[in-house]
Amino acid sequence: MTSSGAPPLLPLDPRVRLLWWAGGTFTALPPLLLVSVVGAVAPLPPTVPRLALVGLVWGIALGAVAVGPVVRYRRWRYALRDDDLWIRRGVLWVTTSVIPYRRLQFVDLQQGPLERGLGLARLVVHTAAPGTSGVLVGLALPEAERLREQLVRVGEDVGGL
Amino acid sequence: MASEDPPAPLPAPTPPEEPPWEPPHPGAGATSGGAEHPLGGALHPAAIVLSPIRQLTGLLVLLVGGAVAPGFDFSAPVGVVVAVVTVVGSLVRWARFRWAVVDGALVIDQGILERRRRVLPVERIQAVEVVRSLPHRLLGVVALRVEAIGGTEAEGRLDALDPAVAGRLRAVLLRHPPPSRPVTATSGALVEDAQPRGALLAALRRRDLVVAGLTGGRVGVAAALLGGAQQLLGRRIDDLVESLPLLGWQLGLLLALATVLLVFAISVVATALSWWRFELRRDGDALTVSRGLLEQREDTVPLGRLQALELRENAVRRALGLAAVRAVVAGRTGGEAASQTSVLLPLGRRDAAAALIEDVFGVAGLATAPVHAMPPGARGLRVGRALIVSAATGALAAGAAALVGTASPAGPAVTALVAGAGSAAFLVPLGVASYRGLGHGEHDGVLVARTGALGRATAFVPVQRVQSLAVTSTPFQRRRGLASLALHIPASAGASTPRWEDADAGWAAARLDGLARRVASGVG
Repeated sequence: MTSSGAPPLLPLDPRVRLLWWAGGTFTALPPLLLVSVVGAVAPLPPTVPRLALVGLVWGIALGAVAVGPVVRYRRWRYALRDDDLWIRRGVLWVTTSVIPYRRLQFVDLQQGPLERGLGLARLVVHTAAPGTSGVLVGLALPEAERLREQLVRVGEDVGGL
Repeated sequence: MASEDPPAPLPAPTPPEEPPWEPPHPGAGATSGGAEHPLGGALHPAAIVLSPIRQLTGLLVLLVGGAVAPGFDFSAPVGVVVAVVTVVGSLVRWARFRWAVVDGALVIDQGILERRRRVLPVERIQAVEVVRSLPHRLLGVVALRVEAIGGTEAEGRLDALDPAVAGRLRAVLLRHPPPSRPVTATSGALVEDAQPRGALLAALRRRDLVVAGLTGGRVGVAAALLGGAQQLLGRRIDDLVESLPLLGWQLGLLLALATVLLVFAISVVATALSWWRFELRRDGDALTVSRGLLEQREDTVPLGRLQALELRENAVRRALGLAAVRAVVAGRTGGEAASQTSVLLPLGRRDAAAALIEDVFGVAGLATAPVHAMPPGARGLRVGRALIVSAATGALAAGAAALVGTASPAGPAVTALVAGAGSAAFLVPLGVASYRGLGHGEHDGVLVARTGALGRATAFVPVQRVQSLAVTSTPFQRRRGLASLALHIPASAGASTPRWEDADAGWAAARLDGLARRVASGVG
């Protein structure tokens, strides 16, 4: 039922990478500044190449911030299968979630200020279990609305919603 | 086509229509017998006195403490004023409290300045608790508490009710058939609801209570009590501690031993008080736990709300062949109270616990079904993790030694070795034990998931209780071809999700799809 002739694995909207780049930069800056200050001020023996070390840390951090979203975007996939919603995400910590339509309780659309600016939305799927069962970050808004309506319709058909 | 407004919220499942509030019949809720009396009205007048009693107990402790501990100034007039204010406040609150059962929901209106209405539809009710503490017993009332999921309200509390009214209310909330005759106190139940007492599934004898207290963990209560004592008698204890070096380490050891014994004793007593006369019964389609000595309780959970059962065996209990059974019920608000009310069997022989689980689910042979081990790579993973942590400990110890600059001739290298080897000797067996604690299985539509080294927990989850599934893998797991499968069920926020940890990745992926299909088709 889910092997050949399977529904396509859909990616997120490419603009979500902008969202993650911005987020990554905001998260990385404070610790980086802290490290720079510490590196400049710390009482280390003069043979330690401070500039090189701090530069290395900056390089690694900025590299991660730049590359992370690209890889993360490439790995995030979702599919609307016959009986359930299938989502796979994550680079190091890979999670594959399956939410049967029968169990859908809530489908929420959320938009933070940055997402609104980029025309994206986040789709959150709830079941009776606590916490969120499935999240799709960074869908184009029309796509997100269409997906939500589809899920609501299927959920109602199967009797969950 | 992007709309400007946020997308319209999903229409919520239609709740029962909010009933127009009508003042209840005067005097309703006061007498038993005669099913014509509508359920509802004000709380029993005893409520006026109950809450001040609770608050004044704290006040009393302070007064006593003030007398015992020097330097604790507390003037009596202030105490009197506080007591009067408390009683008056309680009176006003009682006058403004109304409850009723209207249109299939329990409706509570309360609040002095800001009126608040709680609506708890019967079909959303998860559990009903009836509690009778010492003050309640003196005043001849009981308290009733309702837990619900979904909607806006999670909890409804009626602090004082006539026992007969409470019995009728509980029957209505649990949808038991209404009493055909006036209720009389026949069985030993806390409240009467004309239901024949259900089959006794489990009970605790006094000896079991002691064992439960010794092997369980109510250490929290003991620590809290001791901490409180420390505050009251602080200066005296400080003096004692300061004089210790003079008295020698033997006395110190003795005191430490005495403290440990005291903690144990408190643990045993607290357990005994909580679980006195513990009985688990099945009343038709609900499970009722009754227990308690000073504070008596009856907690009822409809079987339909039972999401999963957990068999808990910590290392000590396992050695003694004992186990505990806990229920996973959706919507518990968490905390110690909730975790207590979920216990179906605080302690029992393991085969009795197994029989209980099979009884509740109605699935024979469930607890003795084979539990398969996870692939051996999982053991390597855990041992590897233990070794890494040991190495890190060694390095930290060496770093600390170098910084502190011990004059030891051996130097940081030996410190690292000793610390590392020491922690490895402890952590590696722990890792192996945690691997042996893992297990997965299935029997007759109920999934079995076991985890834990010292505190082993086996979860029994009917397939149809599963809400969603997730397979996760860390880079370390992927290197060994492993993954973890989580079975999401409705549970209180703090509960841990049943999962098959460190299973074979291919097997986990196949199970993911297979179980999803079974959940979707609605067949076990």
